Amino acid sequence: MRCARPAGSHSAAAGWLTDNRGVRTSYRSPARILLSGLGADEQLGGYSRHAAAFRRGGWPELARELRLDVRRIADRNLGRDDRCIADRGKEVRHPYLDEAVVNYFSQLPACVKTHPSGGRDVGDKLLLRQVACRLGLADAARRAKRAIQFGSRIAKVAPTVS
Amino acid sequence: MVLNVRSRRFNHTYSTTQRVASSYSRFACPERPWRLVEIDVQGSELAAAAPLLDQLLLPCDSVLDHSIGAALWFAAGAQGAVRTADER
Repeated sequence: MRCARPAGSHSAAAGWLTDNRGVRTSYRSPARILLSGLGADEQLGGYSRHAAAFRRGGWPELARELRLDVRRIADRNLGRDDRCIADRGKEVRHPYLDEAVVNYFSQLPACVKTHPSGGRDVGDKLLLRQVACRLGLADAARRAKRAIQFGSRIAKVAPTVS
Repeated sequence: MVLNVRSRRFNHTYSTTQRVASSYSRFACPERPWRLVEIDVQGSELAAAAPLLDQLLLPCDSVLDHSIGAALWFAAGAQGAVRTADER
């Protein structure tokens, strides 16, 4: 599977590229719909401020913080994400914000959804970790999340963007 | 398809995260041909997109908004590379 041509450019349009992982080929997806995981952190306690709320005032304070996050997700996130994705002529869909999912999560006590002192690779979004475990995705169940802006390192590419 | 955006500037080795994400997708829907599209963003590409992103993001204007918005915008552009070894 190795290609003999040297990797001259990293431009996506450059065609064939090689490295020690095999052949890379330029590709543009024709997909018109993107699935976003937005809403899981807000509803299931994935942010460090949720743990802070728990330290501040226990389960009631954490539950209050989660409700607040869900209420303001449209202002904080949805419009922004939609504008960036719609500019590419694509639609974004949010499985975690499906009405039935939101209604179900909102009825659960906070202690079922998250374990705020459990650490970033165990306690946050505990409910999802349990689902992953049941599905046989044991390593996913123990993985610490990577926020999109840090996972992509894009925050570091553009230190001057503010 | 799993889209993965990252910067090239720091020349990271590919983390296991994207491999893992791809294998999960196959687990969830094994009969479907999945492609992991690696989208490498150059600093110059980001700079060129910045004025447009500024407009798209408003009224959101924090550093976090710009970081997330840029990642999503490049992901939605869906232009990148696939490895033949990843294809089924």
